[in-house]
Amino acid sequence: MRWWQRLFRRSKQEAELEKELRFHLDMHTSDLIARGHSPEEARRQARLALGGPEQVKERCRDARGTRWLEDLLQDLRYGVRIFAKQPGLTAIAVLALGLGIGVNTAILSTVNGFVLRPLPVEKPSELIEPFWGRKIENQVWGPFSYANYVDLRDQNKTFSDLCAWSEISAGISSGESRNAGDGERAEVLWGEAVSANYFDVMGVKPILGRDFTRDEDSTPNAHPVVVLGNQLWQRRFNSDAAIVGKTIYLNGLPFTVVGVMPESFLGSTFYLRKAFFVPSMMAHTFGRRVEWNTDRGYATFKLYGRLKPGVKIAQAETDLNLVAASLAQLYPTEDAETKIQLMTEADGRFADGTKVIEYGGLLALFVSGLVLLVACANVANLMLARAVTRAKEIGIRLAIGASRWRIVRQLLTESLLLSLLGGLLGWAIAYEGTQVIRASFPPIPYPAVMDFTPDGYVLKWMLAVSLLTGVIFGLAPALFVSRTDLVAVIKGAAAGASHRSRRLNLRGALVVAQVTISIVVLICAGLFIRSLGKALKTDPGFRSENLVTMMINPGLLAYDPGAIKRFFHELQRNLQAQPGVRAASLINEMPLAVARISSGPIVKEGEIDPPPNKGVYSDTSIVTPRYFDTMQMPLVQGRDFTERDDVEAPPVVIVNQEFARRFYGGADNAMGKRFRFAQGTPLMEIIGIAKDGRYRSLYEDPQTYIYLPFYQRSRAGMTLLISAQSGGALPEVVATARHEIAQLDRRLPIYGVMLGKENMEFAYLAPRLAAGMGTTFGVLALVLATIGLYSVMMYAVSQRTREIGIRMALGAQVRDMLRLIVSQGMRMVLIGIVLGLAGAFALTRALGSLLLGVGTTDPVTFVGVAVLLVTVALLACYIPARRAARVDPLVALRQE
Amino acid sequence: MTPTKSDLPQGTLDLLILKVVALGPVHGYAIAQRLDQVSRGVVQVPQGSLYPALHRLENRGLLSADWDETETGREAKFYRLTRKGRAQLETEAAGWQRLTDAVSLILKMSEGGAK
Repeated sequence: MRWWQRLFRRSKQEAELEKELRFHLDMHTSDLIARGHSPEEARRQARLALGGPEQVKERCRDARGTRWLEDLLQDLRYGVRIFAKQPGLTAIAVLALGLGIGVNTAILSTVNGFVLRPLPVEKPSELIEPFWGRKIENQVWGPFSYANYVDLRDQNKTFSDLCAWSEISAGISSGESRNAGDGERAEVLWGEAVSANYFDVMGVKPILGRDFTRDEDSTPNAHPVVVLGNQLWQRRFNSDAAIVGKTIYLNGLPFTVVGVMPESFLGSTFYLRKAFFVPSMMAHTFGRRVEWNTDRGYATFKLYGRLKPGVKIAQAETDLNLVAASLAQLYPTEDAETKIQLMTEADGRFADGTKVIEYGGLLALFVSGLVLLVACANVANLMLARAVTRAKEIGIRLAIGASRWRIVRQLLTESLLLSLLGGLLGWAIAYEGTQVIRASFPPIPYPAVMDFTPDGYVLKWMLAVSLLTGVIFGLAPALFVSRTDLVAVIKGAAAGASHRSRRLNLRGALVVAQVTISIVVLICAGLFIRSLGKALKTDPGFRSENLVTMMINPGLLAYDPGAIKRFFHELQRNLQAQPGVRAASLINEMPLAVARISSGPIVKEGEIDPPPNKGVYSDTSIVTPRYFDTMQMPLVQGRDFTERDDVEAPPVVIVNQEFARRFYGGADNAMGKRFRFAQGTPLMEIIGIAKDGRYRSLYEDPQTYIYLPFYQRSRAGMTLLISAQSGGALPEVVATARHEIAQLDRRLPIYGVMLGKENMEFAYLAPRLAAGMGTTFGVLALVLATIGLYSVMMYAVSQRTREIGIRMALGAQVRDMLRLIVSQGMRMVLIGIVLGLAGAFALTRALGSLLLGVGTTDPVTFVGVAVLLVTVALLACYIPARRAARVDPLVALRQE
Repeated sequence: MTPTKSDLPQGTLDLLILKVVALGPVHGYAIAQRLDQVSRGVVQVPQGSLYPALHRLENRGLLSADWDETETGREAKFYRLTRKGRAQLETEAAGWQRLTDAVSLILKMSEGGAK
C-alpha cells in the first residue's frame, strides 16, 4: 500500500489495528490461562504487558508516517464543521478578507501589467539599458545619437554586444502611393528602426524567415527590408505563411518582408506593441533628418546591451564613461559635460515619464494594503470571539492531554482555511476589478500593452498574502487561547472574568486600529475626490464641448512637403464651407494630450546663444490659421496667423500671456518683439498674445507656450480640429470630415477620432483613477471598520448582560443604558479618530504632487471625514445599545 | 522476571525484529514470545513498543504484511521480510557485530591495563 492509499483507507486500517492488538491480547490471555492463571488475572496481566491499548494505537498511527496529513484532514473537517455552524460570522470574515485581498491583487495586477511584467525576451533581467545625459543631473535619462552609439559599441570592453533602436511610425499600405487601388486605406503603425545585432541582443528568433544581416544595416537607405510583428502579420496578412519575400509599402515606399517575429515579442518597450522592424539605416524614410547618423547632437536612439560574463554593472558604467570622456574631448560641442548611466531594463522603466505611474502605483498598493489590514483586523476579531466561545472546549482538550502545539495547529488550520477561502473570493474580485480598471481607461490612439489580468506572478503574491494574513491573524488568537487558564475555564465563565476583559481590550485595540486606518484611507479618498472636483472645474483654456478631433498624416503615403501643405490647405478650406462646421483648423499636438514638443533655447533679439546645456525651453505647437477661433481660445492682443504667413513672409510667432510676462514683463511690451531659437534659427516676431491655458496637465503652474505658423514650419502628422455649430451634431461632423478627407485621398488613414469632452479624457485620467480608487478603498475601509466595531459592541453587550440586568433592576433607565453602551463604543472610535487624523496629517504630505488645488491638510476633507466616521460609528453602537436597553432584568439575572 | 533484566539498547529492537521475521512469516504475538524466549528473559522487550516498531518497519518497506489463518484457525496479521528488509538486516547485523567486537576489545584492553 502506498502512503496515500493508506491515507484514504483510514477506517479499514483502524479496524485492522484494533484486530491485530485484540489478537495479541487474546493469545497472551489464553497462554496465561494455560499456565494456570484465572481468566480475570490473565486478562489483567496481558493488558499490563501490552500497555494502554489507546496509547499503543496512537504510537502505531504515528509510526505510519502520514500522521501530519491525517491530522490536517481532521482539522480541516473540524474547521469546516465549525464554520458551517456560524455561517454569518464566517461569511463576514471571508467577505472581509476577500475584499481586502481582492483590491490588493487588482492593484498589484494593474501595476504589474503596467510596469512590472518583464519584457518577453531572453533573460530579461540581464538586459542592460544605458542612458546619456548632462553631468550636472543626478540621474540621466537621455537617448543617444547614432554616431555616439557606434563609438560606444566599438570602443567598450565590457559589453558582449550593444544594440540600438529608435521608435518610428509609418503608414502601411499594400499598394504604391500614387497608383494604389481604390479604397485601399493605409493604417498607422508603430515600429522600430534597429541595428542589425538588435534581435541577437534581445535573444529572439523570427518564426518565419530571418532577421537583418550586417550588410543590410551598413549603408543608408540601401536595403528596404522589414521584419513584421506577429499581430500585424496575423491581422493584415492573414498569417500568410509565404509572406517572406513579398513586398509591402511603408510610407508609400516598397519594403521586402524578410521575417516574422513570434507573438510574444513586443519590441523594445513594455508599454507599446511594435508592428514592424526595419534596419536603422532606413531611419530617414521614417522622418529622421538626413544627417541622423552623423550629427552627434541628434539623439534619437535608445540602447540595450548584454554584459560580458562576470562583468558587474558598475564596471560597465565606468567603462562606457571612459569612452564618453574621450568622445567629449573629440566632439566638445555636442558631447561635452556628458555622462552615462546604466540600468537594468526593469529599473530603467522608471525614467522621467513613468515616475508618476511608479509613485501612483506604489501609493495605490500602500493604501490597498491599509484596507487589507482593516480586513485582517476583522478576521482577528472573529478568531478572538470564536476563541472565547471555544475556550471551554479547548480547556477540556488541554486537560485530557492534548498538546498545546496540537491545539495551536488546529486553530491555525482553521484560520488558513479561512484565508484561503478569502483568497479564492479575492481572486474573483481581483479578476473583475482589473477588467473594471481596464475599462476605465479612455481610448488611447496607440497600440498600448494594457493587459492587467492577474498572471502567475500576481497569483504567487496573492497566495503568499493570503497565507500570511492567515498565519498572522490566526496565530495571535491561537497563541492567546493556548495560554488559557485551565482551571478558570473549566470552573466556568465567571471565574474567567479577568481573561475576558483582557480579550475585550485586545478587541478594542483592534477596533481603534481599524478606525485609525479607515480615517487615513478616507482622508486620502476625500482629497482625491476634491481634487477631481477641482480638475473638472478647471478651465483648460479652450472649449471642448463642440470640438471634434482626429489625426491624419499624409506623410504616411509619401507626400512631399509641398503636397502636404496643399492637402491641408484644401482640407481646411473645404471643411469650413460645410454646413454644421463653425470653424476648422490643424495643430501638430493637442494640448493636454499624450505627446508634447519643447523648443528652445529661447534667445531674445540682440542676445547671444546660451552655453551648451543651459537656456530656457518652452512647449510649442504648430498651428494653422483659425486655431484660436476653433478652440475658442481668445487672443488677448494682436492678430491670428494667415495663409500669407508662409516661408516667403517674415517669420512670425504667437505666444501666451505667461510667455509675454516671463520674457517681456507683460503682453503690451511683448507685442512686436522678436526672438529666436538658439543655433542660428531666424528671428520671429511676436504678432499676437494668446490667453493662458493648461498644456501638459491640469495640475501645472502657469506655463509658457509658443504657437508657430504651419505654413512656415510644415509638419506631416497633424490633428484636425473641427468646431461644430452645436454639440448635437458631432457625429455628423465626423462623417463630413471623413467624406472630405476621402475626396482628397481615399487611402489616407484617419485615427484617434475624439468627440467633444473625449478630448479631455486624457487630462482627467489621473485624477479620475485616483478618485475612483480612493473612493473604493475608503468605502471598503469604512464598511470593514464598521463591521468590526459592530461585532465588538454586540459581543460587549452580550458579555455585560448580567451587569446591565443588575443596573436595570436598581432603577437605571433605558436612556442610561443607551448612554453606557454607546459611550463605551465611542470611546474607542474617538481614540481612533484622533490617531487617524494625526496619522493622515503626517502622511498626506506625500500626496502633494498628485493633488490639484487642494491642500494636503484640506480642512473640509479632514472635518468631513471625521463627521462621517462619527455618524457611522454612532449607528454601529446604537443598534447593540438598543439591544442592551431591551434586556429584561429578570432574564439577565437568571443567566449563568 | 529477574532483577538482572536490562533495557534494550536504542535502535536494536528493529534489528531483533528483522532477525526474528527473517526465519519465516510470523505474527506479532509470536514475535514477542520468540524475543522473550531467545533472549532468555535477559532483555526486556516492552510489548507496547513492538507494534509501533512493526508498523514503522512496514511503513519503511522493510516488512510486508498479510492477513492469514493461524493453526488455530484465527485470523492474524503475518509479517514477512521484504528484499529490502533482508538487505537492511544484513547491513545492520554486520554493523552490530563490528560494534560489539570493538566494544569487547576495548573492555579487554582496559582490564589488561589494570593488571
